[in-house]
Amino acid sequence: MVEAKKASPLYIGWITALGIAILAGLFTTYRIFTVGHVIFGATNVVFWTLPLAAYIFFALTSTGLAFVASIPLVFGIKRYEPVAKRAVLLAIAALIAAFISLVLELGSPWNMIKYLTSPNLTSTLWWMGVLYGLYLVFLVVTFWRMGKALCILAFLFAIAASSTLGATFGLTESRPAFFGGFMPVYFLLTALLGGLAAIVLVSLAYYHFARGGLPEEQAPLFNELGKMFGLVIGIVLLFFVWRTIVGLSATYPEFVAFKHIVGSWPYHFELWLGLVIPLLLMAIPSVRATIWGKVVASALVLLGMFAGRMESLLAGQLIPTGPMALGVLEIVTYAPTIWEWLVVAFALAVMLLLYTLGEQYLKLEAAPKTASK
Amino acid sequence: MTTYAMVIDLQRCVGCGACIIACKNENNLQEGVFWAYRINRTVGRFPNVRYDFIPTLCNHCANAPCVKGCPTRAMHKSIGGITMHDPTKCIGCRYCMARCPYGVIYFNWEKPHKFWRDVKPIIKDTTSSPLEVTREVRGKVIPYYNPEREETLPGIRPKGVVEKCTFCDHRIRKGKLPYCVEACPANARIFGDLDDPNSEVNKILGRYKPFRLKEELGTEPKIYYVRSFNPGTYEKTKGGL
Repeated sequence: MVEAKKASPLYIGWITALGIAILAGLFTTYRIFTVGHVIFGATNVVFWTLPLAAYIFFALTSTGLAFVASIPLVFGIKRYEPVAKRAVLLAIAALIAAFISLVLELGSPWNMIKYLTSPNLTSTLWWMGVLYGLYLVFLVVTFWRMGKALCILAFLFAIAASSTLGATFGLTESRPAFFGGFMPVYFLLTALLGGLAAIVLVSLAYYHFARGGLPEEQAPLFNELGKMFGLVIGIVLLFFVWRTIVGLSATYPEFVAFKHIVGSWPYHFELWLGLVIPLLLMAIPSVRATIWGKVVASALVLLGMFAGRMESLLAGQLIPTGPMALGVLEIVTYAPTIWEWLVVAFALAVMLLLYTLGEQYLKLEAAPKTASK
Repeated sequence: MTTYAMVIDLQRCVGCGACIIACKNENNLQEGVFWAYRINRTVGRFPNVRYDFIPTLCNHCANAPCVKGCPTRAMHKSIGGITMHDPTKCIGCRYCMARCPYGVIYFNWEKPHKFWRDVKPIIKDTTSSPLEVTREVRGKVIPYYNPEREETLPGIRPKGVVEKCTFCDHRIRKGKLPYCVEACPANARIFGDLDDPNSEVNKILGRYKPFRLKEELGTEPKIYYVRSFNPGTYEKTKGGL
């Protein structure tokens, strides 16, 4: 995002930082493939940890960016065209980051081949993988050739893939704290919020670092995006509050974990810093009109979303099931290891590097040729 | 048709844990992995307390959520309704662990039997190393390796895949009982065919009121529990007065 002045110390520092994170990630990959998942903080009780939360975060952010790109490309609202290509590129980069997280969560790239050679059509997880794979194909094709039909297909696959990801959790009947049928809808909504936050943050950072500020003609577009951003934060907050009320009122023993989480810092981070404060920032017109207001709100929302993905994962896992309860606490604890954080840093660095290179070599602000047809 | 099922008689079960140990030996299980295990429960209030021991294993559910959810059919149905797992198809996603309501599926977080692969002597210049012990008795990874397990499944499952009870399918195919049934000193485990009206399993189920774990989920578990271990009695009163 700081590409314009190639030789500037800031640019060199940025690329160096990304390079270090990627190198550390490659070493982490080597460790995971050779030593195994024992380097994670996972157990047979909490078996899905930070790398999977990162997968969900990046995959849904990608979906949300596709939704943003669809505003001009599918629904024909031309004034959003300047952000379309950037949103599609970011969606591709975020999805690649998601796949990196997933491969490292699974532990071997060869596992992906088994996905294709031995499909189980009754499995939502299988469908999720296929839909996200096809979604990536359509995104890449859409980036180079923004035909309306392709854009519509990418949009539909974005909806199908992200809601199927939600259903993957929702269909685990034995773990009601994954919130059943609520999850596909919640994932769609939060994806849109993450996508809006990502496009606002990355675009404004790009204009600040590479162009010396937001061009005047772009200001109305970003103010409008800010309004939409605020509205979606409000809707997500409503869902979030109802999820909390349902979880706190539930008598199923599995919800004890959720009640425990409601008292934890990731939950409060998600609620106050990730939703309430950004909503307030976007609700005050004078703050919403400022660059810093939108940057702070979008950065907080993305951090809150990330904490939220981890919180959702833990809600369904902190209570040990059946014999797994032997010799462990009634509500188990989990803390990510440095290796898990390195997986997240690796995925994020690859995403940002892809975007930086794209911003450098591709004309992201050119109006999509076929979108206005 | 054959539908394998197991009855666990909680009156006969003494909670010795022989089933757990036998299973580990038969299936070459590593430390921390239990295909057969137990739920311990303490009820009542001190000094009037009771300690329950409920033996557990894979329930080989007829409507197995793990089988439905597995993206690669690694978890699948086999002879007699046994829920089997194929490590060569497993991608290590752990979705079966999420979907199993019974907590009986384990993941191999690292190369199994780390202890027995160690080349360092337990006491320097005094004892053998674990690896030397295994080689001395011509074991495979572990000194007590059971080669019969290889007949239907890799003898030791690799890292990065899940594993679980198979009802000792390698023994059943040869007309033998699952090893936990064989090893139970109290004969508290009864194994048989639900589709055979005269099987011992059906005779016991018809005589006692059985229960299954989390029946309300509709998974149709094939592990039934009958009776309750309670040798004592209590003084008869009128409603507790």
